[in-house]
Amino acid sequence: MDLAGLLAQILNGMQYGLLLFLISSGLTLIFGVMRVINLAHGSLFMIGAYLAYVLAGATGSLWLALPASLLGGALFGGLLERVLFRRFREREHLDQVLLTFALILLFEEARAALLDNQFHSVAVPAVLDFSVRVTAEFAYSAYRIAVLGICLGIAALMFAFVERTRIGSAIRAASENAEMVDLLGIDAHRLHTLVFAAGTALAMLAGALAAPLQSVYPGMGDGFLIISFVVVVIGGLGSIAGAFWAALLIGLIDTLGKAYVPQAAGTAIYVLMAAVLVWRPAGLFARA
Amino acid sequence: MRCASPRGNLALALAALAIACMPFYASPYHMQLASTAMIAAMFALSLQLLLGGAGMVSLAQAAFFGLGAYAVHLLGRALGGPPSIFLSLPASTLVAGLAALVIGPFALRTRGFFLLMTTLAFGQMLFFVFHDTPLGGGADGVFIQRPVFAAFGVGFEVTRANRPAVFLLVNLGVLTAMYAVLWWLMRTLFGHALLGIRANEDRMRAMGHDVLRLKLAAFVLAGALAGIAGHMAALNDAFVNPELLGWHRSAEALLIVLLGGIGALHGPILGAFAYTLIGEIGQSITERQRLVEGLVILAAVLLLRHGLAGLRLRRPAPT
Amino acid sequence: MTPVLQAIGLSRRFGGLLAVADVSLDLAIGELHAVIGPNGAGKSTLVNLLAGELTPSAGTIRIGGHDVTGWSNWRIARSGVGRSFQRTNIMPEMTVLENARLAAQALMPARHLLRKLRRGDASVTAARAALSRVGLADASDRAAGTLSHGQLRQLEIGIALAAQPKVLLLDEPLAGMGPEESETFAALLRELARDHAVLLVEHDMDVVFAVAHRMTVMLDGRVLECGTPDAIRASPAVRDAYLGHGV
Repeated sequence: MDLAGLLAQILNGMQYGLLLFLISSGLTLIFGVMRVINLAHGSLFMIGAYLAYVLAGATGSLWLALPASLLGGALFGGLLERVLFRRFREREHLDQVLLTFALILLFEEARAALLDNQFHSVAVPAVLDFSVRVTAEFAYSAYRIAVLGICLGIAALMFAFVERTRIGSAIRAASENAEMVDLLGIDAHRLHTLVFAAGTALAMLAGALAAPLQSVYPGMGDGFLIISFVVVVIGGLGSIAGAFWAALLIGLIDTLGKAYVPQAAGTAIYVLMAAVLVWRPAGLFARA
Repeated sequence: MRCASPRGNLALALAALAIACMPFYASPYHMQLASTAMIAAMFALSLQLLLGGAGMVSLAQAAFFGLGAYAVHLLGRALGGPPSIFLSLPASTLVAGLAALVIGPFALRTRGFFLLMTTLAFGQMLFFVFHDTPLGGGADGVFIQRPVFAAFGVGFEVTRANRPAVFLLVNLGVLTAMYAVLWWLMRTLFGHALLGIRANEDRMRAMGHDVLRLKLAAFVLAGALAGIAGHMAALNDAFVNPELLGWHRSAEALLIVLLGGIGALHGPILGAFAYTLIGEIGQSITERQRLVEGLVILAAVLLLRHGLAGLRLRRPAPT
Repeated sequence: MTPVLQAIGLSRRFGGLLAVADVSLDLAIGELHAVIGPNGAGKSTLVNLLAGELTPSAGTIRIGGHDVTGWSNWRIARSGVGRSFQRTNIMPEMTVLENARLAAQALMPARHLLRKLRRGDASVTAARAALSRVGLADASDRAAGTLSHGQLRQLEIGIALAAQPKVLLLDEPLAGMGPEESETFAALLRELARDHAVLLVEHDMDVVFAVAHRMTVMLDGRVLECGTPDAIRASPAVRDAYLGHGV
């Protein structure tokens, strides 16, 4: 058993899981609070990645891309919510599926028109372009460690925000009972805009962080989209903590699976989801 | 879901006749286009059973469609040569139906958003089976040998010249049969039970209906029908690739049903032809196919409340 | 004689709240058993437990002597229990007849399901009979959503009746009705009690005392008292807790 290799895969799995968490947390909140299905969530990831590519190309470094994707994402998300998703709320699921599917198509087409349909690689920021010596035989990419750190930091901030602040408790209340929000005296519209903006910002940030790791290419959001849905099912709707643990679990299973048991890796996650659906439909980590 | 009025049925019959006569007046290209539209209609009809019939929004139908297509390839590989259509068609139906039977008991425990997500996920799982394994030629897909119209050595030879016409008529036959079966099914007690589930699933359960079993029966039948559509697609294109199973295809099927009208059994047929036509026109105007599709979806969802089938009607009578 | 439905020591807990605590009662054909009590006494929870919508935290339910504890709502319905809902729960875009017919169809064996639905179908006949009994025969072909409130409450009972159950669980059927409608309804309830075992949850005391053969008074999830209407009316405990002393 190659311990160094195992350690690398575990760290990779955690890093993938944490990126997945950034994307899924937005999705679970958006559906938990707003009850809107958003298939275009994966496209936001793609947009963040391409934004990073463009900014890195223009300024020569990735650093601007991170706050840009966060801020730009928040603005973009707020705009999307006020102009489109506010109206989608009253529509049936079928309509929401199709409308957000149309958004995916339009985003892809817009990207093709503004940029292109090519694969692009994005350079790791020079300052992080080295390997950290963990043990005598094992070195791990500093950039990946930074991504791990950033994601964990954001996770901690999110958790504190949702559990400790007033808006956070409004979000938790809204996930359980939509009418409660009005009773608590909180403007539901503004809450939705905030939630959507936050979700969008997180997805775009994830895209920017992921850009040096996996290149940017059309349809890169698709894979993450499906897996995010699996995370939300396993973690429980509306639960940030659930999304966190479920994302980590799935990240590890997927990465370790692909490394050691490649044939089964693809289906293992879905088997897990099927099991959750049968035995614990509220989610493995849902609140009691 | 209502069935067409007697005048509507007459219109459908006349349209079918017009299509059947295409070998006399249409070019091979247009006959192929009609075949494509009819296969899309078969696929959409299978989804309509779930959507307009039982109120289930599923994103897994393409997986069953793709399975039906790949079954032709796998059968050909197993037999070492092109299979007889009398073997391949039942095989595709069976494979797709069995897959639905396996996935159904898990997926159908969920409703609404969760049903969407689980059907999406299971559909993708099947996509990866064909995408990542050597089972079907991997991500690029594979050319297949078309099934032959023969049994026990006696048969009809399909040549390059007569292929468009032969396929046109075969697809027309299959589509008509499928429509007839669903038309009959919706008139049975089972069909009415499905409509009840669509209207108020909780009340149906409180009444004493075994709702899970009813939904599973519909899910398996819909899967089998999608498999038939997939078989016809494989026959048509002589090519299969994993994208056939992708969820984008499922979403397109949803669009076609919506475009034609969820409230009517013949809606998917109208929708499929309209969608194929729009695609043709779109392709001649611009290369930006995704833009065209996106705009069509927006138009269908935001403007056409009852789909094309509902365009000329006054308020329908209660069912 | 075995009562057709028996509840023995039923309890149901929601987190820290004991909504129903150790409730026992039984129902027999020909008898209308009313359950009364203030809001929050656990009456609706009790109905949901008996109908199989909720699983008991403790206790047993028997139908015809068989243990059905923990059975889901559709299996209980198939065992001969029909229920009406406190908040109208129908298919508004379908006809009144179709609403009742779907209930009548529910208990048919699976092999009959591929039969084409014709006008003379057994489910149609059963549905028409049920609708006649509740007084909705003339409204059969109307969309259920166009009915008046009183007619909707009639339809709720019609749906419960259509599958020819032995037990009827009626959850506040008179909710929102005026005095004349209540009178007609009371007559209907009395009539239904002749060949069914009826459990009636209601707030309208005039109707309850006029139709009930036996009454159970619930308070805070428990049975306060059980007996004939006269006994209940006279009971000091019940007067203190619920009825007041003017009745």
